[in-house]
Amino acid sequence: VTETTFIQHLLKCRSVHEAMLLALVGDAHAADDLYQQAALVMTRKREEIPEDCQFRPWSRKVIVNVVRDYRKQMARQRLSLLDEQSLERIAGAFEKLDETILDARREALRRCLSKMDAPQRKLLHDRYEDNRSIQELAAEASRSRGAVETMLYRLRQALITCVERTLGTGGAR
Amino acid sequence: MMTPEDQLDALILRYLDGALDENARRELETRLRDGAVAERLAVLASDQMELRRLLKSTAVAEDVARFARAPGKQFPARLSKTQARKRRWVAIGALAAATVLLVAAMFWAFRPGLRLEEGLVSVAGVETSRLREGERFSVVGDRPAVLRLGDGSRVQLEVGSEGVAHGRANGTRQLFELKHGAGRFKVEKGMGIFRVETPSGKVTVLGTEFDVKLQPGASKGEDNMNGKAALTLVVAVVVGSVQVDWSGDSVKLSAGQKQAFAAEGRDLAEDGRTGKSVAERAGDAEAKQGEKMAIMGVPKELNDKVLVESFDGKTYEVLNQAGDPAREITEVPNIVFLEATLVKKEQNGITVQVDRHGFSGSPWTEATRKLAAQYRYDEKKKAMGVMTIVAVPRFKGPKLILDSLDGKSYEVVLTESARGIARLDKGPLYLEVTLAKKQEDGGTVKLGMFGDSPMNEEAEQLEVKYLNEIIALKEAAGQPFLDIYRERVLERVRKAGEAKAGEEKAGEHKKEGRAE
Repeated sequence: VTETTFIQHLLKCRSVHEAMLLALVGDAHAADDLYQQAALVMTRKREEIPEDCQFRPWSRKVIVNVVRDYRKQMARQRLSLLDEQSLERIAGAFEKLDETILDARREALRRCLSKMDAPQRKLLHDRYEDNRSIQELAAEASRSRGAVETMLYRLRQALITCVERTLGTGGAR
Repeated sequence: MMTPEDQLDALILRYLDGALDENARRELETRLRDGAVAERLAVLASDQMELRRLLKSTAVAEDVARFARAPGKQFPARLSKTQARKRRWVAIGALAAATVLLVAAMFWAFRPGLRLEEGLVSVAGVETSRLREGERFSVVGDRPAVLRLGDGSRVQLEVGSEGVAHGRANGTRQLFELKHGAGRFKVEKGMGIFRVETPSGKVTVLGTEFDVKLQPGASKGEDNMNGKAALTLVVAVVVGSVQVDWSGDSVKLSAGQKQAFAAEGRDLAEDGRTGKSVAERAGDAEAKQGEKMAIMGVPKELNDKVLVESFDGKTYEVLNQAGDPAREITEVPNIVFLEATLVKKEQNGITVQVDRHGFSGSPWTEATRKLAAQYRYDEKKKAMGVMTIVAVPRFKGPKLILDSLDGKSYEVVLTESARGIARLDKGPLYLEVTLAKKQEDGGTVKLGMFGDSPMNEEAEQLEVKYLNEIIALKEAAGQPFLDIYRERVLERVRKAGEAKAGEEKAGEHKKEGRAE
């Protein structure tokens, strides 16, 4: 793999790698940090990639290993992530994901998000882009933590429904 | 009633939100035995990452920012069906009127040019929320004002600040004049020069975020006669780099760096009493009381005093402007440069009051650069264990970790300037560090200079060595490597290659000579 091809692969797969890390650790902050680590490991090991090796399966193995190391660190702090079998199943599920469907979902999500009103988008923005805690959002809106959690869940569920309706896949899971 | 599919989605969404308790996590593990559940989790995680990206996009962010300014609409309302029916007809009637208002509002909101987004300003003594380019204004009220300039850049000005937004002027794409006060500038990337002019100097930037503050400096005879105080310009760079033109000198500051500059033409480095410049006095410890001098030395704290062991062989007790021990200078791990005023000279020591110091240990003026050359700063640094690394910073809980591209990891001793890293994006940085505790795979380091571009020759060599990794990491962190910069580095790579080839050729000639 030439250096240019490696960089192209790394950039092209970024969104899948980030999603995979989020799915494996269930924590957006940790996923962000682990992505940096994984990219660093991949960059260091790029010369080890055999010529006939496919980048995606190789990079996913790197990601799973980075997550395994992270699990060990978390275990030392008595914090637990999903078990080993679950990690492997999730990593396997990413192997099966159809890029075309993901692209279609992205486009549908963009449209569905634009249909939401400003307060709804602001709440999503504060939580998922600004990474503000539920507690903080609840205090700011003078609502209970449960109310904010419920509202966020409803917004996310509404987006999922809208995306799947747009793609005609509602119910076909 | 939730369907089983909805219940599964709810469980997955809570997991992706980091909100699962132990029992729910076990439930998810059990359900993940079904391959379809794992696939659903993969799809929803992809959706969530995409949602973050979309929310980050300018259109949505601006929409959110506009909404955030509208009072009384901070949380999405949920209407019951009956309420919704009752309100529908009222809403239809209001819709027509609202459409007219909306068109007018959109015309106002999206018009190009200067716009006051938050806060209140006063023009010619009259409070207003509208501003025109070229008008001198001051920020009034009890909160900072946020201005959106014609090129999309934003400036947040503290209450009491005074300025003029000139728009496209004097060959710049945007010229902002800060006459008084302080502001944070978030400059949109784009063609042309963005410049902030102050009475004490000019700051020129291209796509960056930085603070500019004008604070009362040392009194000058001429200023006092005019009833004005000289203003010291303080520039702190958050992201990117800026060039500060001040007093005929030009200084480049990178992310994480902060520096104070005296009023233009009234350099603090000039001694008020004798007219002798600090540059002339660099390295001269024979100054008289009240005179200014430059010092290069190693700071340390001893018995509640801050001392600098200078390379001229003397030890100085250093006070800050408030007369307290200048602890801020001890943040610099090894060698510090100071411009200071001599307070007293007694048999048992010399006391100085610091006027300015290099924020991250770097020499920054003619006087301090002269000292750096005189005492061979680069060699001294190396001898004191300062090393240069290229690394990616990350926070691990409260700890700041640097993952160096040579494979080692270092924990950073946290200081105020080290915390500045947290404000940077997560791309690779060039750093000067000193090992405080060595370990096999790294250790603990104290931080000196750092920035997103090389600050010394060693950093330039590392950039050549790890060029591909640096490009990949910068791209991955959303910091595209600018073509012009890439060309500059490639030129260095080419030169390094030529030098190496030259050495090899010379070696071969030597070999051939010996063989003959």
